[in-house]
Amino acid sequence: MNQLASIDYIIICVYMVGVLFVGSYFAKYVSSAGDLFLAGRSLPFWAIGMSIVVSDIGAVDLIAGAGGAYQRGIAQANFDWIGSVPALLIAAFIFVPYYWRAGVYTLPEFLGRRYNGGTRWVLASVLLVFMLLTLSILLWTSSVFLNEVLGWDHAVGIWVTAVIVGIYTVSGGLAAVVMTDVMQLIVMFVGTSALMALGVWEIGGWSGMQEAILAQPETDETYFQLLQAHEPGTEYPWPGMVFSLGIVMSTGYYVGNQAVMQRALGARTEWDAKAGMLTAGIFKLMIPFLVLIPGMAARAIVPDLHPADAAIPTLINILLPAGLKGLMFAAFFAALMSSVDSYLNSCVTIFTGDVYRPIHWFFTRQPISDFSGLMLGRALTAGILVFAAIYAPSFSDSQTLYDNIQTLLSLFQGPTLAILLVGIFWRRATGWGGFAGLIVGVCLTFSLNLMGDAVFLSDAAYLYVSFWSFIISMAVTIVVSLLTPKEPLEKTKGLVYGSVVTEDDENKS
Amino acid sequence: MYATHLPRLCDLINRLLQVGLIRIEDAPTDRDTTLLGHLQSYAQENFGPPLKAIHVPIDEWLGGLPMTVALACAVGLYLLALIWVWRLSRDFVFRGAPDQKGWRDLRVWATIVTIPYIAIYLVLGI
Repeated sequence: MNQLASIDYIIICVYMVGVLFVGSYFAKYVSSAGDLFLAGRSLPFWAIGMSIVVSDIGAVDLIAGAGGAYQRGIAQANFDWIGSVPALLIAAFIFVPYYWRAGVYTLPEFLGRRYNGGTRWVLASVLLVFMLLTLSILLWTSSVFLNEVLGWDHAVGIWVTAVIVGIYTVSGGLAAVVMTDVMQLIVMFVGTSALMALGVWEIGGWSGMQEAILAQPETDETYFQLLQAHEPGTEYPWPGMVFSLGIVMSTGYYVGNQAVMQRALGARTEWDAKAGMLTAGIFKLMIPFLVLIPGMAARAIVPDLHPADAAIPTLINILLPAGLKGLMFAAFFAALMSSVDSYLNSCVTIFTGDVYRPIHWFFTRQPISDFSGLMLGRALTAGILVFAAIYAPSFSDSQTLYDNIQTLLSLFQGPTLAILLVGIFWRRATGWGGFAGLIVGVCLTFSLNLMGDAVFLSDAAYLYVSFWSFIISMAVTIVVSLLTPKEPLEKTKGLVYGSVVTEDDENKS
Repeated sequence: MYATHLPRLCDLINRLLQVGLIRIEDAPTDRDTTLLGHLQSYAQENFGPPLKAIHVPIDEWLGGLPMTVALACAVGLYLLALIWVWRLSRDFVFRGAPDQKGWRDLRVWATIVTIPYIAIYLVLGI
């Protein structure tokens, strides 16, 4: 990492200044809370799609994804392939139209309208804690990265990242976040494409890579198979990949993720919101090529690498010339910053919409004015960023903690998808039904994970845990709904399948 | 994302429980008397047997299927999604679009997005 040339430093600095400039440009379009949180509902489909992909892929995922491919082969790509497109189609054509037409700011707000305040608060609280902790961890990760590449002190790294992200997120809101994401995706794709191309070239193309890897005693032809047998010792058995990941986990991830859905909610039309999800599907197709193939190329070039997560850094040092190294590091920084700005903006949106707004209404019986909402949003963005920056050094063991927090959030994916599906497709679902489905589902997921191998024979128990928690949450929601009084028709209007939303209703919302 | 995070749940629970509540790997030959120990025992005793009774036969049946079935399921998932998309009404697909030109038909977009995934699974699936 210390072998950077002057041109690399220049590229990294140009990238930072460019992001700051592009982000700040959008400040002039922000004059209300709606502009800050939902970009004034003006986002085009291409920006939504690109932003969803780059927010989803963080710097940690680049490293860990390549490391996984180095160890286990191409089956790792299932998480981006079968784990994206069926889910993005379902999100685009089932969930996004309802979210968008409801005119909500957040996912908990949608669940609050469809079910009740309890469901809204449970989900909002979990998302807030998760996002606050993740922000601090990402700032720390950023400081580690800047310390390695530029030799900056950790405190300087944290505050430089916070200031750059803060300036454009406070002033430009979601529009700035999304447009800088577009720029960051381009930088990320160019950087990783260079690494992939040079890696594959170095080992004589795809066939050369296959020959080199299959010649290693500990690998066999399953290294190049996407679908792995369902037998003990298999890390990614195909039923778990197809049915649990392909249907439940990935759909739960996309439709229950505020950072993803906020971009769709900010779309200029319902068509753009749906098209944005499909655009994300196009870019997701390329992620395994850009991230996993370098990992596999590293396996062919450096067979005895420990740990496997060192695959990409090693390849960078071996293959990339001056200039491209700087570009690759800019790509890593882009992946980091896109995650920081997305979490920051979504965190403030949830805090304002799901915590402050109901409390303000409870005490004053008055809605927050547009100007007050804007000022509050900006102040909160700055405040939360300062808070996260101050606490960032506490997370020196950030990698493990980050993984664990993400894992904690995964407890909610199956149950959240279950209550969303039942809520949209079954008008009879009641507030208590949804609340019970969420709580029982999360407790069950936790319990099943505690039991682990006691129930599931497979090595990939987590795949089946999500599936069962989804099924049982759905059953609990249905049973409790049938035992509680029906919701009035007016409450579910526009929120359930088949309910007609007129143009007037849309305008009002 | 899932690959990175989900398998680490046991590690998470262990870390949460470093405060001394329970241990997972060598759980519990001696009954754990902490709150989470009780929870774990309760879950194992009450949820474990019925879920195992359902899941193990399914597990064994799936294990005996040839890999061509796996490929058919993966490709079938994409094809089912596509068939469902093409059954959506034209009005719904174009809602919000400024015009109804052919390139704005999101069913066509869904097809263009999905076909490369199907091709990849057919080539690299098994």
